[in-house]
Amino acid sequence: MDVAKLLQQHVDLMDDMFKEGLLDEQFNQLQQLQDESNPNFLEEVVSLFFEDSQRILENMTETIGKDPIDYKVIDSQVHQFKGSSSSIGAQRVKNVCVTFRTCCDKEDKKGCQDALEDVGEEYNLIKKKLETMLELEKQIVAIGGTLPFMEGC
Amino acid sequence: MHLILFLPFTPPPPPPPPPPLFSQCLLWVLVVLERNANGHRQRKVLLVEDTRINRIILRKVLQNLNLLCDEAENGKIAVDLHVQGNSYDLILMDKEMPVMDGHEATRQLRLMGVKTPIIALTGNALQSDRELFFEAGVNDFQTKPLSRDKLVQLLIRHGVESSIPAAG
Repeated sequence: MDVAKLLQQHVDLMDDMFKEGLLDEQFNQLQQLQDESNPNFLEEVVSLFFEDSQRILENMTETIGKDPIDYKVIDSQVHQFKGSSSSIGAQRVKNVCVTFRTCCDKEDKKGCQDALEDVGEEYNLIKKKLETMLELEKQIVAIGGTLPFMEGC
Repeated sequence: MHLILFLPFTPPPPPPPPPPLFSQCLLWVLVVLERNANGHRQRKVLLVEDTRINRIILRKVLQNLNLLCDEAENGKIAVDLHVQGNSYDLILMDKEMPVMDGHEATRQLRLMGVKTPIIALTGNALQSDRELFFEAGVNDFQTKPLSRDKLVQLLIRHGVESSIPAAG
């Protein structure tokens, strides 16, 4: 596939992610941090987000599965997830975390269980799209193209 | 006889040129200065933040602004760094951290006599959060995530000059 088509696919994917509220302006900030001295910065940060998120989700699942639920522990876990998702611009994941924390404050077991399910769904959705984005970027660079946010670097 | 003297680091002004009397011999006082290419001391920021991904991102922003950066995963490490004799031009202080949170770390630093500007960072924009942080002794308050532009404004506001590259 030629560079122009891949670039268009990249543009369309990014537009969709922003329009659907999956990503916010913070993601643009991250793209702008990638430069010649750190050409893989975005991939490194996104990969780290995936690692941390997987671990946090597993921990949250374990905490919610206990009886009684330790709401301080789950709140701390949600706080971490909210922080990292906010820093990467994963807006919908962050928003679910905000709701989740409210349920923790109220010690609402059902609310927490539902929020855990929601946050898992939102995370899986953004993860899939970001993986597609990273794969497109690798292909673009491999055939000599320049990523739109790297132009001028 | 040629003498070369090495003296410990001393602050500006730079040494005067060698007087004419010593022009025939190589008696120089070499003062090793920690300076960047523009001749300014590189400013140093302490980043106090428990979430690793947040530290990585802010570290990159600070590096791009030509600022040195130390990192602490919690408030106690931040306090310990000062007890060990480190000093900074600015401190970015997260609120919720294990071991010691941002409020307590700020209080302890002020009790130690640390005058460095401290910027509180939090994901909440609650008035109660702001009040607690200001009572603890911070100079400023920002909601996360902290963008490059907001950070530059903070640096200028708190007198932390750096070789800030033009916005690109």
